[in-house]
Amino acid sequence: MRFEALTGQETKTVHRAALQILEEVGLHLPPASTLAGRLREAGLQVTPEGRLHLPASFIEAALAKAPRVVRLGGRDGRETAVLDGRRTFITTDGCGAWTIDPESGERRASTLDDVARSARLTDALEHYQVYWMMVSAGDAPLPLRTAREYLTAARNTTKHVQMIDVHRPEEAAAIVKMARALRESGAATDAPVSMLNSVVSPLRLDPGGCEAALAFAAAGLPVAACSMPIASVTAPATAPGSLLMSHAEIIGFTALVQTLYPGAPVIYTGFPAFADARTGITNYRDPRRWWAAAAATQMGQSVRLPVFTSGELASLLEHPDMLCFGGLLEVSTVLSFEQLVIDHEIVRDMLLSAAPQPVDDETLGVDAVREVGPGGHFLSRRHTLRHIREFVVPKFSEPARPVERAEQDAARGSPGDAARREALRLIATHAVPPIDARAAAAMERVADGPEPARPETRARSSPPAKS
Amino acid sequence: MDGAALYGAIRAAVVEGDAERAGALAGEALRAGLDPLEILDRGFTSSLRHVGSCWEKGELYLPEMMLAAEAVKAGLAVLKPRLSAAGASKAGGAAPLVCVMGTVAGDIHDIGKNIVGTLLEAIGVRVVDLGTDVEASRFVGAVREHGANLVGMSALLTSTMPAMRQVVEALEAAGLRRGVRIAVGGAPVTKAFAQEIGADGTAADGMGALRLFQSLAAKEVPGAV
Ligand code: B12
Repeated sequence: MRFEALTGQETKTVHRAALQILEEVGLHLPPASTLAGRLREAGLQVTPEGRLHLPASFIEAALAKAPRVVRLGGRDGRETAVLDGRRTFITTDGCGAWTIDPESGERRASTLDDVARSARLTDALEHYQVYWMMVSAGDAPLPLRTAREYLTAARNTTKHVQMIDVHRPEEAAAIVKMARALRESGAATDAPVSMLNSVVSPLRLDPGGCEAALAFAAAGLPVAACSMPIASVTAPATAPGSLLMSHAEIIGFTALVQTLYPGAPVIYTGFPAFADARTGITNYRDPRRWWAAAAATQMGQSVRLPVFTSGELASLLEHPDMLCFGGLLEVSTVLSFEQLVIDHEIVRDMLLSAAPQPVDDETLGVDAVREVGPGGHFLSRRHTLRHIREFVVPKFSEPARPVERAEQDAARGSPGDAARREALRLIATHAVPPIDARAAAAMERVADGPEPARPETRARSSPPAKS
Repeated sequence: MDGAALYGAIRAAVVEGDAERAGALAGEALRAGLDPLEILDRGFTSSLRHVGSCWEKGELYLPEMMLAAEAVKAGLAVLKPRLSAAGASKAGGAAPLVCVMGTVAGDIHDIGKNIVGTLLEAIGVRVVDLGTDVEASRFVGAVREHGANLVGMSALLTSTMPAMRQVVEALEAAGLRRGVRIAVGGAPVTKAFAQEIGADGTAADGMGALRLFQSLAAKEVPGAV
């Protein structure tokens, strides 16, 4: 199925406008930063005010160096998500400073335990292929927080982990070391971890985040080059305006990465968004977001990069390589385990709803119609038997059922309660193979930092569920 | 236009966010011989209050409120020389209000800070905006340099919230803490956190921030009315 948010001509119009913005307005970065120094060394001109004007010819030449296919590996060599345009891989949402405690229902600060449990739950849910760091662990001391988050996630899922809260080069260096340990042990064949870095809309580069991303690129670890403009706040107040800002920022940043590290794996990560008109806070419920995500997918495809977006069904119909959906509430700030289980069911349904339905003799079932004739039913036909397993059975989204069953279920709580029980069951019973022992030891050394960790912190960084 | 008509026109200009007209009307009101303090109060401050309450009721959207604030600022700019000539600024009291604002070290989120800064300017506070990723020492330097009596900090990352405590401590170490009132904000900041780090308050949105700063200034800043 295909839904065209933009015509071919419109794609070109947006791209041309983005090139014009990058050349005329340019990007801004602190002129005295290490990043500015590196870009100057690479032959780019950063003005004394920190303006970086990027001509169209430069952008096009740099984009041409980026690979079309990016591989996101698991930590044990299986489950590589190959972003080659043929399939959409789903990631969880991230990264919540708060968590709804699955036992007490209390809304509290997120911890490393929540990283462990959400990673384990994601590992158990088959339609998620990538674990986006779901929370920021408030109990892990800075500056080693992100290293501990990664180690904890890697212990609890073999799936690829994408870090989204790394924004300092030291943090990136630690994670790069851990990834190297996994690769050198022979356990991981493809990059087991990647990171997301956002351009600061409108048109500003965060030197810390960019340096961190460059450390990943230097090590061959994929970078999600991200832009999340908010229409009316950090982008023009229209859907195409938000799209334009995200396209300009992503290709601008990608071109810089390609200039310093030609051929480095970069994912076009477009999350054009809209404000809540009353408060200026991102409003995920603006329905134009779906159009914008679908359009961003087309824009990424038009510059031949793997595409990552969020925006549910409409964007899925445009076949992005990666789609972020599920598990967080309140504009991605609160982790809810039951929501992740419910969203997983929705993900499955979204994937199915966008799947092609081939039309042929078998699927038309003309023979079955002939056999049944007028009246009667299809329940006991061989044809039905062949296809009945293709049907999805809703578990958490209000199945239709007899009155008596419904009453029994109600007594046991809402569908949310059932999802919460399922989350806790999976966390307790789902087994995740341990990290290769040598790699794990090396990773722990990195996560412990120069000083030995306090015993309390150590205990917390190990998964709570059986491991 | 007589006084009442002028005040009506000023309110309309503010509500429509027309900065140019608001500035022109402020000039016209002065030429008509109206008292600068009264123009400020009945013309601009009350219009801003009206706009703020419409926003709080959900009748106005954020960009409409921001443009209204810009219109009030334009009027204020015209009135200012005459207000200081009158010897006192109603908005500023005896000591003019100067607020050093910034997003703390390691953090680049600035949308919330910019909203709060614009609204503060509309009530006559001079805002010294240090931008984003601001080290504690720069807050201290700016408070000293500009004789600030208010400090506003913003943080959106849980990993940069501790930097707010460092600013409070640095101001203390520099002997400047007693002369300033400190407000902190940003989505993850709570009242309990503000209290814990020794700040004077927090607010969850722009209008709340405005009220907070006004109450901090009115009650506690040495020399303020
Ligand atoms: C927009 C946004 C961005 C934009 C920022 C653009 C810009 N110019 O500011 C971009 C895309 C650049 C960005 C980047 C990043 N972001 Co961000 N971002 C957000 C988002 C979606 C909205 C923030 C916002 O602008 N809100 C709108 C304004 C109006 O609200 P506000 O800031 O809260 O301000 C109001 C009040 O708080 C108050 N207030 C604010 N300041 C002050 C000050 C005082 C004194 C007072 C009294 C009141 C007050 O009044 C304001 C007006 O109403 C939040 C999610 C969220 N729900 O908050 C994530 C979020 C804050 N970001 C997050 C992350 C992880 C990042 C990155 C690390 C991602 C990356 N890897 O690149 C980087 C940060 C890099 C860095 N060094 O800081 C996380 C933080 C998680 C955590 N654990 O803390 C969040 C929660 C998203 C998420 N769920 O993952 N981000």
